[in-house]
Amino acid sequence: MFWKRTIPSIIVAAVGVIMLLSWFIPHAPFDELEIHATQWYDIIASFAMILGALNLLKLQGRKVVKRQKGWAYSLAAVLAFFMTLTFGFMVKGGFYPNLESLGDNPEAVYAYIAEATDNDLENTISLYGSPGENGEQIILHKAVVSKKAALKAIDELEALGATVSLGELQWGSHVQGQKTYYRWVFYTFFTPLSATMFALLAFFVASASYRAFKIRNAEATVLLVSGILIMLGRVPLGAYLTAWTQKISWLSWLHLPTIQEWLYQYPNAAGARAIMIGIGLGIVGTSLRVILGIEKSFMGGD
Amino acid sequence: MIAKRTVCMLILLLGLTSFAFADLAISAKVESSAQDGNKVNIVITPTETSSIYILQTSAESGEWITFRETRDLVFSRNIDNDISTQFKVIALDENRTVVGEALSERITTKAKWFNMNRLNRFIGLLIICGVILYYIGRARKNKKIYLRPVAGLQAFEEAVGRATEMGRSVLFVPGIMDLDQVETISGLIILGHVAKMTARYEAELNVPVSRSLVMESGRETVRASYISEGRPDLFSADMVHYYTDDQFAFAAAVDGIMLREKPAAVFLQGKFYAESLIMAETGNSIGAIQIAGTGSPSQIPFFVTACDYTLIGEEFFAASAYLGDDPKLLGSIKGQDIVKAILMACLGLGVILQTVFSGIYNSDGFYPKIKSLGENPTAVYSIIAEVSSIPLEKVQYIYSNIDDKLGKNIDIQGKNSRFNAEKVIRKLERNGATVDLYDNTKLENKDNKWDFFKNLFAGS
Repeated sequence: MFWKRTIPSIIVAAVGVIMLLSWFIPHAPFDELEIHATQWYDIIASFAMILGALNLLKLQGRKVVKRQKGWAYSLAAVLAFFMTLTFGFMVKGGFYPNLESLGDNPEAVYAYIAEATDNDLENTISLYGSPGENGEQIILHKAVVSKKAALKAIDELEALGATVSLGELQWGSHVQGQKTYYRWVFYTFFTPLSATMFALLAFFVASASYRAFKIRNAEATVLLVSGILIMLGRVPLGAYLTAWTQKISWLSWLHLPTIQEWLYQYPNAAGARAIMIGIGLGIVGTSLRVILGIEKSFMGGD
Repeated sequence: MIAKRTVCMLILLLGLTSFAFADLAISAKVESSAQDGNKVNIVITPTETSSIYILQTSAESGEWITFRETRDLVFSRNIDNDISTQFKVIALDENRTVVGEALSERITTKAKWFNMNRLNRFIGLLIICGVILYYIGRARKNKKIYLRPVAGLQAFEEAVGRATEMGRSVLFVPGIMDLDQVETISGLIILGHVAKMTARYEAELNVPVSRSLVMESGRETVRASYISEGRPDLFSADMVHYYTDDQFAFAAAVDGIMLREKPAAVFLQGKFYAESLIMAETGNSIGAIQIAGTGSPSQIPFFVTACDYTLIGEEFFAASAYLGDDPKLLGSIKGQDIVKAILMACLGLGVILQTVFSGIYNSDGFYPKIKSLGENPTAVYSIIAEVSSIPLEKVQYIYSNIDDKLGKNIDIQGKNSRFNAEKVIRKLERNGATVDLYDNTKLENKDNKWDFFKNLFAGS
């Protein structure tokens, strides 16, 4: 109990008070405490990821082994995990032919490079016309450039008289570099899947709005009217429909963009700020309870 | 996120270190900018020169390093804390001949032990903490504390009971952020209470998380809850399980759980972003009773729309005190409410003052606009330096060339009310200057809150 509850409580209280006060003290060592604490946190969180990954594999693996409901999805998760791990740490791709000199038949070399890089001849000449001291990288038009593909291109270029060496991205830079397996996985699988999930939001907003705007009581009616005014006021149609009010001075306030701006800036801002003040106080209160050790349940205490 | 990173300001100890050489063509002044941390302002008063070089001693070798050729006569330089340094100013004429040289005294930058710019926030913090601590103390003395009922919190037990009756699981999502967010901590605290209920009712609990540290902390919380309810046999570490750190991948995983397992009760308690509606709408589609709570203001409308109950703002952070029976927690909530009442009173007072005295004591509305210095510029410079808290040399530089049509505003250091501005104008006019009142509240591009009402009631 002492090691699992008391010591962590003391650490939380001490660190909480020091971090709180350090915000008011610009003097060393307090001025850099936040930076150090953030770095410590990042390091601990990075190592903790291993626990998460193991837990994921254990649970999803068990589902596959026991053929539980939806085991195929778990299999996809496990395979994707190992595939990404492999491309992150073991197989990287990212090879490229490095053009050092064009040789005696530059036209043929240009033509080959233009085709291999899916570039037009004019651009190719401007890009590869005078290779520098370190040569010029030829980025082949492939999703991933393996060592084999790069060597094949080198052989073909050398057959045309060019001097070409093999280049490759370093480990680490392959995560963001071009023509690597990791990048291929990221942009071919992960990004479209994430975008799909995000795109679902549009449909969910529509269904949620429909439910919210159903007139059930006075509050819902106010919400509906405000929502319609805001929506109309924010599109050109709203301004167009009420443009006539601008010609009659005492009706000018009926212009929909004016009404929506007022709704947005005043009643909406007032409500949002009230909630923000409550949240701010709640955060202070919760932090204080944690620092004082009154609230310990997140550490497994009562 | 938490916002993020606070900036610790380094402040120079040495104040004004002026120096001047009577027989040289230039003089210069190095001053610390008190609250801007490691900043040195260099003010140069030149005679006829073609160019000026500023040199600084290197911290390592002590050699002179040219860091700037300038025609500006006032500029700032950022230097590190605890650095001893010295500046030299060299003026050259058109033939590149040195016509003047000035050397500053050596100064050492030194940070202060308290950031006076944050004094108001420090006092505010002391008041808030003091009130909360006072009510915690009161609660300890068994003073009875009443808290208004919150529908969302009262529905917790009902939701878990419903899941038990239907023989389905309870799904609890403690947000998508890590333990460095107070909302996540608050979510885990609520998880502890929900876990006690599921232990009591023998309902199945499923807690998917998106951060490994939250998984570990969540497990401890759930374990403690099951033990405290006397049902350690029902606890399994796999109740709290990790999926992914990625926002939408996690949303997909939670949606998958909802659609496959069809939990009867869904708790979304923590820090959420755009995935909030994706989860809440999916939960709604399976007919689960949903109770959400978050400190993210932009996600509250989504939860209100898609969930049965939503803990808004401070209700979310107060949940632990409501659900538990610790008087100290109740006392802290009471303290928060008292602080809120104080803030409401301050806001009300501010609204009244702003409404009644708007345009008279508005602190950001009016500036004296000086159009000519008149016959006694020295006195005028002194007044401007006094009211604007700008060094005299700098004032002389700034206000020496005034366009008599455009004029130049004088900032009265955050006290730019009509009252103050008119007082300064009278003082300047007595010394021969020509000064107008510049009304900043009537800028065409400035949002004027009264225009709408003016149009509404005056028909203008």
